[in-house]
Amino acid sequence: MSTPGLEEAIVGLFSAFVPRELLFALGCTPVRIFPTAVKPTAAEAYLPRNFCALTRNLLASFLEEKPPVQAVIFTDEDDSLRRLQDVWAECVPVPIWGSLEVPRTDDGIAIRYFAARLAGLARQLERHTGTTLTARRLRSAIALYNHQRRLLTALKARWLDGTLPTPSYRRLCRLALTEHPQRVHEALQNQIDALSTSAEALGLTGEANGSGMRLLLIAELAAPAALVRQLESAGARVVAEVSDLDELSMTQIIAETGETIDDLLMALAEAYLGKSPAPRMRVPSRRLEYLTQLARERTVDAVICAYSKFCDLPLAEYPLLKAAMERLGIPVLLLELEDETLSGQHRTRVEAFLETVRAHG
Amino acid sequence: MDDPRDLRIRLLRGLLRSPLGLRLVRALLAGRPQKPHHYVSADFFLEMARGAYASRTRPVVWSNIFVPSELFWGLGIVPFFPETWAGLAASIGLSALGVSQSAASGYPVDLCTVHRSAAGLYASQLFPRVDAGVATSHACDLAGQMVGNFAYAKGKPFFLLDVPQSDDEAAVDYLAAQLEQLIEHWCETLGIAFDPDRLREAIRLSNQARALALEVAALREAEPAPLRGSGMRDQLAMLTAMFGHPSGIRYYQALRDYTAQRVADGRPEQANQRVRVYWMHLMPYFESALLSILEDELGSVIAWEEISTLWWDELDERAPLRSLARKIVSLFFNGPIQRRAEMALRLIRRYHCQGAIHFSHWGCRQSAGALYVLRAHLRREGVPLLILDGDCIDPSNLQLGPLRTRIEAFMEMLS
Amino acid sequence: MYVAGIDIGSTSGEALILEAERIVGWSIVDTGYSSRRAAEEALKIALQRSGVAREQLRRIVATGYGRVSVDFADQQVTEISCYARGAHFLYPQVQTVIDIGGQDSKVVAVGAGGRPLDFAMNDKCAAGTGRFLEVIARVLQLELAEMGDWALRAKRAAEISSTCTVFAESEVVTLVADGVTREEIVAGICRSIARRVAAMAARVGVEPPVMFAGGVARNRGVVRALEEALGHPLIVPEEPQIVGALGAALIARDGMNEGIR
Repeated sequence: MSTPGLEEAIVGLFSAFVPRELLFALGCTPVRIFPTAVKPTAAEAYLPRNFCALTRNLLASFLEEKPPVQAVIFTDEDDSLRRLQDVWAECVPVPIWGSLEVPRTDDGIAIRYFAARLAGLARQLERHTGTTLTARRLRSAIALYNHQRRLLTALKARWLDGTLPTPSYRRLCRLALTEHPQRVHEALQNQIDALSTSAEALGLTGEANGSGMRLLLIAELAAPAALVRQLESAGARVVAEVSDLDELSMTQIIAETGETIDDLLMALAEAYLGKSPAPRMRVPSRRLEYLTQLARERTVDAVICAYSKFCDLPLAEYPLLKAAMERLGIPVLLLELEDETLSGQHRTRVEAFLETVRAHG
Repeated sequence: MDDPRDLRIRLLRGLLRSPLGLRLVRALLAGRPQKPHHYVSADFFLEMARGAYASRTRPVVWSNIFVPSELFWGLGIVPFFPETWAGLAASIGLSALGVSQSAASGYPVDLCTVHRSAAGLYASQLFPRVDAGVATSHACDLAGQMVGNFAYAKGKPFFLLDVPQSDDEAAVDYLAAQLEQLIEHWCETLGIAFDPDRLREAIRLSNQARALALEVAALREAEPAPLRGSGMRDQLAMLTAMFGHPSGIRYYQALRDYTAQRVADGRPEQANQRVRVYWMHLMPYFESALLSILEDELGSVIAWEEISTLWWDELDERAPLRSLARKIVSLFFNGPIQRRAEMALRLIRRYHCQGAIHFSHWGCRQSAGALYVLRAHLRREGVPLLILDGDCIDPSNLQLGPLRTRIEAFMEMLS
Repeated sequence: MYVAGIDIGSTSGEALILEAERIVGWSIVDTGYSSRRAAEEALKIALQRSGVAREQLRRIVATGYGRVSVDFADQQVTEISCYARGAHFLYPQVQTVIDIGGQDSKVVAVGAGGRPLDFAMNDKCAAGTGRFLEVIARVLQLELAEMGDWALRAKRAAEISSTCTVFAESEVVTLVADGVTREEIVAGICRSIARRVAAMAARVGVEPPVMFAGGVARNRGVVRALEEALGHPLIVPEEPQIVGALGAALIARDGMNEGIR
């Protein structure tokens, strides 16, 4: 799909609102940047210590470990990302190939504005990649990622029915966000095939209606793997994760029928603004309705919010979220995390929370 | 109920809700020595409070401070700004109450105290009724979100003005279209009738106040500086509430005359003026020795404050919504930090400042996250920047000892 | 003509007597509970060692966090200016001074003539200060003075993830329980301090040559960790604790000269 003779550039993304289709159509491999285990101290030279921990971690991972990306794309997702973009040019040698304004509403005028900004991003990327955007390229990129959506949806069904363990499902979700789509699809398809053969051979049915406590995890980029491990080894089962790893990165299948680039950009804009709302999409009612409905659909027993310390948007939403869930009789635990690890204190709080939920259940 | 704080809350609640109470406050204020412009601003805010707390006739819309006030006055709406009232509460020593109540409402303690204090005052039922909420999405994430939260909790409609980071024509068009939607939304939900002439009148009043405010800005170039910077800590409240209201003209007229007199008489408010500085971001709203150390003891005069900067071009009454949209996107807190740094350098030159001081309000991510870039920009132009960590709402989060050393060292560096 | 500089920090106080370009005597005392008493005590000892009588002092400048309590001083100047001035006197080519003291740490960019150009200080937190070492020394039952050598003996540094002194203390307890050696823990603590200070230094911009002053500069473990974190070799003066008092004395001398002129 890339211009002959030009290596596909790996382009890092910090946001689930950047349509990967557009980057792929322009000869880039879009990958989502996840923080590493690096301590955020190195970032403190540029961002204050009480700045969103996730953002500091992302910056520190670029300062100390230099992820293999040729360029990054920024969005104005929130105050943290805006400031990260400001300091980026001063301290990180990875160039910014584009920055994208993402509306916080999803009505008609917002969609049109977003589509126009996507066209602007395309022009910026064309200059860097030397690839020209055509309707044909964009259509096939949309088809490619739609295929990924279908594969992930199939895997999600297996996860929800209990055939695919949570850590494996999360690993595949992460793979889909961080690898070249063609490689990803092979891995996803293999997993689907393996699951159906083993299920047939063993006559397995899912354990979706098993006895374990059913949990909804809410996080920003992804809930820490250590938390998921702790929860599941304590006999609880994660049945939904509202984070960029899963729910917040999933859009509906996007129409591949657009004739022109503009039609296709409009379809992308509509899908990306219309996906499950993050806290930044600031009509509180829409986000809370979405979360409570999800909790009901998946018959959740308890909610755990695993947020980055000093990350304002989810933290300021928290009191409303807690009240809304408790009206449904669903208890909520808030963890404020400094990085990917869980401290002893965090573990104790999680354990105690599970005990109280069980005691009341 | 035996908690004395509860009693104080109940007293305050009663005072705010009764028109008599507000008249009493006004009488008390009249008895205190004030500068002429302070009478105008006190009157204006009391009038606004009476509209919000005691009136039943006009709709009350809660808003973050960066929704243009011309819109409210031009539509006959009483605005209520939780952030401004949190600052006001701090100035009369009530911040501890707001901050402690916010923790009880479940807000994490690391959030900005301006918004936490507002949440606490809200939880203590010290805020007036709300008919709708509106907020812009720029400058500060929390401000808009908190207004959204308040409106949601009361089951009232909330409108978000999504503000682009860029200030090009497409951005202005996008925002102007939203302003049009907003007006329609208010006509429907609040039952108001839109009168274009009234909005145009608000735009005219705003422009007149703007011209006067620019005269004040020009007068403040004088050396010695005629005004004391610490006396201007309320300027953001004026810039974001008074424009479009007749009081705006009266206020800036009074301030202009007062400043001109000081210049003409050669009688500056601050006698000891060794070094001129540019003040960035907020100032403590409560009484603090910090500013008297800086001004009187060490002789550093704040020649200009970032938050006193009138940031918008003259509004066009023939295209009111587009020009209000332009006003919103051109705010110096919007867009890349470079914009803010460039404005700082322009003003530092204009007001002949030797250095800049940034008061870093704990919990304000958007401004604290800008410090590295601001400092680098200013340094490239040979302007030293002092960063003072503190809190403009919560006195217990402002430690004078370490700040004094920093200020003294900075003064030693400049002189 | 003799002048004196007195630097009263949170844990120790120093006094230094200067005659023209010559240091004639100095002293270091514990600050204890009273900054003023510490100042008196330090000055008395420094005078004794110099063989100079109090009356012979023409000017006294006080600096450090306790400077305001030194009411017998002729002038009070912040430690920022004094460290810049003192470091410049000792090594005129120095462009950056890093001081890690008992309760605070600072980085000063030094300009021509030993004038400060820019500076940064730690916030309320004690994580990048000598206090951090003290707390950990107590947990590990080590003498503060020997901690540097313990760090240098370590083959690797333990990962200390907490950036807060209070939490790091409990983390160290856990590491001890897990059987991590004291050498590795101490090396980890030194690295943690060094990283924190290096991040602060980056805000000012580190230009070599860099001097490391203050009591913690005696700790060779922190020196090495800081050199690694900054990517620059450090100049550690023979007496790193008296740089502030020296700067104060030099400023006192400058004041005399200005007075004479």
